[in-house]
Amino acid sequence: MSSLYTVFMFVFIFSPLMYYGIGLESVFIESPSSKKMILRMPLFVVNVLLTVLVAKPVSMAMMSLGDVFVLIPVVVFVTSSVISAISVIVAPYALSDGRPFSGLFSFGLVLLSVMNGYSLMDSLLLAFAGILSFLLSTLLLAAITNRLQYSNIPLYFKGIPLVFISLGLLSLLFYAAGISWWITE
Amino acid sequence: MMRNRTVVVAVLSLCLIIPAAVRLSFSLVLVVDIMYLMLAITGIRKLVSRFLSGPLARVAELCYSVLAAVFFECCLAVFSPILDSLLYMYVLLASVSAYLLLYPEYDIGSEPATGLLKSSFLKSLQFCCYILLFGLFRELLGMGCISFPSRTGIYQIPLFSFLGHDLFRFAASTGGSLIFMGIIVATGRFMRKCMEIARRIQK
Repeated sequence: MSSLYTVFMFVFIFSPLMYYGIGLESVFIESPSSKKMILRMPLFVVNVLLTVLVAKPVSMAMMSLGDVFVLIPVVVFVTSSVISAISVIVAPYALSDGRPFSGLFSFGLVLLSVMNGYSLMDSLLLAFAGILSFLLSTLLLAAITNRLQYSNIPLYFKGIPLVFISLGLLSLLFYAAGISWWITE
Repeated sequence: MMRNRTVVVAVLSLCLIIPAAVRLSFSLVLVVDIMYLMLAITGIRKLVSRFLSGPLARVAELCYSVLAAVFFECCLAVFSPILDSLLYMYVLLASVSAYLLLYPEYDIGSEPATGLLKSSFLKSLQFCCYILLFGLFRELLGMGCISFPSRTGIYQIPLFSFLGHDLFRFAASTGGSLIFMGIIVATGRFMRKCMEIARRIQK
């Protein structure tokens, strides 16, 4: 039950997307081609979870050493880069369009879960919830943009302005879920 | 190409502008961070290009940029631990943003160092202007005051009490600022079109 509670809290209330903003640009980039994103999703999930699995014990060891803890972000980043480099070799389709998949989001998410999680299981759970939140928002935004393609929209609102407004409304939706949960609690 | 560049800047700045530039004081810290990172990354890219090339050089440059951000974060923690605790994540993420902004631009090996520093400074200036304007606009509307970084956190100057109303506070939230950003971009397009028509008529 407590695991479900953590996932719910992180996906809706402390969504890394809306609360920390670390996935906004990835959602923006990925949403027009949601099919491609879904194809690459398994690789992304493995990447993030594997990075947390490796980086968390190392960062915990560094915490116990004292002043070295300031270098934890560097360790997280090096681990993240090495694992994504290996995954690109294993599955080259992840880089088929010449752009690293969700680079900033993956780094931010791993850093967040490594720094905020108390145990290895908590960190993995936070990373999983972050991925879920990213997937949910990207799919929602993709559905919105698909529908808007066939709608009669003023010329100046087409493209970026409408994506911004849709993202804003999505973030309100996330807040509403969080607030209503707080009120009932 | 120019249009793509604008889109890339707009998209990459989302990560920092929306959640971090809530107050002018936070924006000022981020501006200093980005300026420092842009110059540091340009310097190290020039150095790395002499010894390494290809993906290995990219990993080395990125690791150095995170290390430079960690150094800035330590300096911020010494200056004001409260500000550091509030902006910790964004100071680190700025390193990746700054690197991605600089990355695809030019062949670093053939350019002179002064030219590179100048172009990266100009590029970061444009990005920093967005962050400052956004922070100022959101703080004025949402809280009716302006703030500056200080050793105790932030130094606040109240300006307009009527602007701190709940109606305006919406503009300072994540959702509100995204919606306002969309409206501003659309208005900008409309204004540009109007100016184009006016110029044609004048000719």
